[in-house]
Amino acid sequence: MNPTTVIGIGNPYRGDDGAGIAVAGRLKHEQGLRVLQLDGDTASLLEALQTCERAIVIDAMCSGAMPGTVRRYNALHEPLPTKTQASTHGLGLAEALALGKVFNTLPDPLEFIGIEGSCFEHGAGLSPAVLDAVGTVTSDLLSRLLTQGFHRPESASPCTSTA
Amino acid sequence: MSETDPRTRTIQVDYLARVEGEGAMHLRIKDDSVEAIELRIFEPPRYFEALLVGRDFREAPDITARICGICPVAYLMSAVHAMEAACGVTPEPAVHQLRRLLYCGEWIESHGLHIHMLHLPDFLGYHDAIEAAKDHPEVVRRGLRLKQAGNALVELIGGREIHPINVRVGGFYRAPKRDELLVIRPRIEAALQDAIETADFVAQLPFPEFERAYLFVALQHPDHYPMNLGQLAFSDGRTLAVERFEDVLVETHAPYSHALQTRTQEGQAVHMGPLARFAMNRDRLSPAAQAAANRAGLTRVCHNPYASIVIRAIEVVHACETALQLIDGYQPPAQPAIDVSPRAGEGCAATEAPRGLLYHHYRIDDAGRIESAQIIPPTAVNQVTIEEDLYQHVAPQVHASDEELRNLCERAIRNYDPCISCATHFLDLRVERA
Repeated sequence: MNPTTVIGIGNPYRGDDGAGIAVAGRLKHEQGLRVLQLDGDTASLLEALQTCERAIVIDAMCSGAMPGTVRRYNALHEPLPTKTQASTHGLGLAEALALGKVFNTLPDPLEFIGIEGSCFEHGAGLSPAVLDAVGTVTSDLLSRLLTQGFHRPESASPCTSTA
Repeated sequence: MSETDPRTRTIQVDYLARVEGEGAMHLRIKDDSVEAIELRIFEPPRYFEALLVGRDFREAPDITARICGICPVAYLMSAVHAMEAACGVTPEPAVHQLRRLLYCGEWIESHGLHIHMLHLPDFLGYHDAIEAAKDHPEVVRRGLRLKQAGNALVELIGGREIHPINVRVGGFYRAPKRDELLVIRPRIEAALQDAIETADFVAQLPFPEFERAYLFVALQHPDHYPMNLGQLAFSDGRTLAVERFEDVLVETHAPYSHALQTRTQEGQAVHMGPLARFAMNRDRLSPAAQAAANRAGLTRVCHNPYASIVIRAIEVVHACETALQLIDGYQPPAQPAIDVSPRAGEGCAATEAPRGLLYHHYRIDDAGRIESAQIIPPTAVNQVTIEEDLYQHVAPQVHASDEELRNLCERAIRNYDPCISCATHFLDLRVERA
């Protein structure tokens, strides 16, 4: 079993908010890889992270970047975008992870991959740019996790690519 | 006064902190008096009402449950009860017990979240739960444990933690075995202890002195503190069948927005939620919850919305203790669901979502196709009452800074645990001064 858990977060019924869930959905049948799909509930996320040796969390974000932009963060050491999703949750992802830091219950390393969304209205389905980004992120994760092993993001500043 | 007037100052806030979802508020002050306070409503339920028309009656619970990730059980329950009323069927008592157990899970997780993550920082003097957790880690951890216990109960009965999939018109797709329920018992027992400690803790908080003579509306049931069943009870003494909801509570367009506002026919605002339930049902709380209410000094009707945090905590005690009773007495239903054949007609139902009474009304044809749907969420009903509270808060303090006013208003709004995702689009607070 790969020591890294992949956690996709979001609400598939709120458009691009389902980006993280979609990546996790594409990976969940991979042999030897632990994959979770969560809605972003603070308590559930923190409980899940407590069970991880290493983790990669993927979620939609709303930072003003081009739709489909993918950003990777070392979530333990870099500030995350505070508005990660069109949230209907109590706390956003950034706040949930901040709480995990206070409690010292986060795995190390912990990577966050944000996929910039454009439409968070009610209704299922991803916008075309986000759908492309989901494919890119999935391929990238597959190659890193299953072929080359897990690579901790080294840079202090977010590595950015546009899908 | 236009927004471009040089004497006007406008403050725009991205969203209202620590309120579920999104919403918008506009405050206009002119000549040292409050000219307007508008809490704007977008109303996804309207979108869902349109979406439901033409769909099969069995789809209403799952479709409407998507409206809110925090209280999907409320949407499921109001929808199944309304559809069963339309079709003239009543599931067996064991199904009702299981529905109450599922609802207990939602109250525990929703109240647990609001008390600790959203409301408590106001009373402890912190910006948010993260700051509060640095100084009070055990209090916040206790909140997370309660949230998780509620989530686990919803997942066990509902099949999934966030948008449960096991509920259907007529009952459940699958009823758990007794052994499966017993697995969660220790967790609920621990949650009861956490809930009692929470209730005693929040009862000691300093509450702003603020009371209004609200007209409370909640379900009332002769045997239970209400979740799924009961009649409409008003704090002025009226009791009515739920079918008369729309005769008594009417929706009118607010002059300043597209939103519909709910008032009594006489034009009075109403207050739904924990204070209302408590006012009309205190005697039917579970023993541990009654004891917690006594320790908190809540022996009578409470008119201070800030004290809603205490009543929510007492309701968590009640939900945990009730869940334990239901688990201990559980016998699986003879069949998880009864067959429900459609017939042309109408059905309505109301159940008690954590934040107040949620009303559904459907009309279906003889093939079971939905001809019309009406969903009235508690936040939409409470909107007028919230605005009146805000006026009372702001009117004596018009000279306070915009920042102070914003904090004051946000705090007053949080008393109602508004699920803005059910009722508004984006709470963007604007203060205009002339």
